[in-house]
Amino acid sequence: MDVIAALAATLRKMFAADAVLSLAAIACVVIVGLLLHAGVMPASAAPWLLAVGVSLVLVVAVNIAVFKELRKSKR
Amino acid sequence: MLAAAAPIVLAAFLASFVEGVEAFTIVLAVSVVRGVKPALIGALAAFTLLALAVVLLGPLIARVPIHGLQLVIGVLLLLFGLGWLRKAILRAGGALALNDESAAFDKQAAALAAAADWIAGMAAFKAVLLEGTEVVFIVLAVAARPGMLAPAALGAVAAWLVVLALGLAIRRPLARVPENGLKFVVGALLSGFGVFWISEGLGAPFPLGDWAIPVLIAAFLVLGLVKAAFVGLALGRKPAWT
Repeated sequence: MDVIAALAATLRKMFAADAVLSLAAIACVVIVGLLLHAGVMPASAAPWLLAVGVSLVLVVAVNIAVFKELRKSKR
Repeated sequence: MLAAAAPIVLAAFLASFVEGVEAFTIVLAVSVVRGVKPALIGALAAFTLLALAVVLLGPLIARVPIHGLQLVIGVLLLLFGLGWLRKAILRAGGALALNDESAAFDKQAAALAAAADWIAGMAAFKAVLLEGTEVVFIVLAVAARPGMLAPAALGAVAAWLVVLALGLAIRRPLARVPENGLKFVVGALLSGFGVFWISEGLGAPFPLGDWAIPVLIAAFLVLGLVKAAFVGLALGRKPAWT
């Protein structure tokens, strides 16, 4: 049982160590998919929009962590 | 083809190397404290399970419709890659402590001092299984196109053999391996593959074809390096890349 619990913890760590980052990245994929499906955006623009979107998600996730660290060190 | 194959083998090799170093630290602690036998039995049992997972799941994945597979695997790779990249940026910028294999070895050795042999063997089994699970996922995910499973698996096995050879040569934890630098590169590789597979899965491939993969990887790498420098500046700490 201990091994199974550890395996479950590893899987959680792999895909959802930072819930905000994971949810925002998935939201980014969903938005691009919906825009594409609705024909609002040309297919040639979609991959670039996706790349820019997930890059922004990464930057924001790092900023949140840094902000928390700064707040912690000020206390 | 080369534009896709080279990053696939590199991703499998580097990810496997990083995870191999972490698993080796614990297997070595078991070996030093409780003897070679439990360490070897535990590690080999886990390695057999992992190899079985690749052999069974690899051909199974090949039967899934390609667009759906690319989308699901792309999202999982992206989540995994962004997670590694985020952590590597924070560690490089000084917001998180770097991994210390020597400290991990000491902690594990102290915990095993009074343990029975079978518990020590289980510790080695768990270490190899858990670190190896990440490697198996990466191998299966980056190789999600025909003919790529064998090169990716070979890259991963080669990395563990290199770790084993280095470890046996120095008989100490591989504390001088630039683990965070490697995690940086692997994070960029996985994120690049993730965005590429998702685009293909959505039916909106990059106009550059396979050459988009190295471009995306380079872009994530540059973004990560710049961001890490900014994190270091914001926190007033010197960037640490190793």
